[in-house]
Amino acid sequence: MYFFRSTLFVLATLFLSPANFAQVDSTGVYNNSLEKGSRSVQFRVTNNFY
Amino acid sequence: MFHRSAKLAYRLGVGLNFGIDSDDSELTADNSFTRVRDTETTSNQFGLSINATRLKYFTPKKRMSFYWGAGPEVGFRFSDRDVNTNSTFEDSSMGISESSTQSIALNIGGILVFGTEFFLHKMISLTAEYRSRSAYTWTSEERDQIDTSSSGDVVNQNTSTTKHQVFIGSSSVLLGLSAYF
Repeated sequence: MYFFRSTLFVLATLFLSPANFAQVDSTGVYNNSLEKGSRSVQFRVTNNFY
Repeated sequence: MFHRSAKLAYRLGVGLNFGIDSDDSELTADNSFTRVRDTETTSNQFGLSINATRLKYFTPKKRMSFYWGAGPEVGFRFSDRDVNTNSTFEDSSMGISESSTQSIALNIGGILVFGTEFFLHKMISLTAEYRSRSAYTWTSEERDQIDTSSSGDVVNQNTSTTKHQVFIGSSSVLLGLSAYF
């Protein structure tokens, strides 16, 4: 339960921080994570395999 | 996925596939005589593939980013299929047929992708991707069949088959969720 609450707190802090909502600057650039050094994990489903 | 720059990323992908299928069919011919053929089929398959893709983003600093990419892929698939058939004519046995087929397929090829990534948040995005795959596939299949006639005669047949296939442009659509860290 402690782990669950801690994880929830970390995620909430991460995603609700004001910096993450300042998404488009005055020049129209979107503040996403497509930048040098970023990593991501994807979960995907497909309609067929072979 | 690892970004070398805003426009360039490398992606390592692992694909898994499972399939379980069970089928029971009964064919009845009811005329002046009654003939019944009952067939039970079960099949299982498991597949694994690994690919590495180099992705190029056209418009990285937009809420919706388009990209394309290409890279090599290798994979294998194992499948197992059992078919049991029991035939009767006027309630007396016409024979039983049992077959078991195992196959393993190995493939090596490449993939070409074109997709779009929509950012819900700075660190979370949804992805829709069109993928075209071309590959050479080697398949080895072993089939054992035992036919038992109504008089008790048993015929045993074993078949080994090796196939070489090349396919170009097998396409699929992938939907995904990405989390950046």
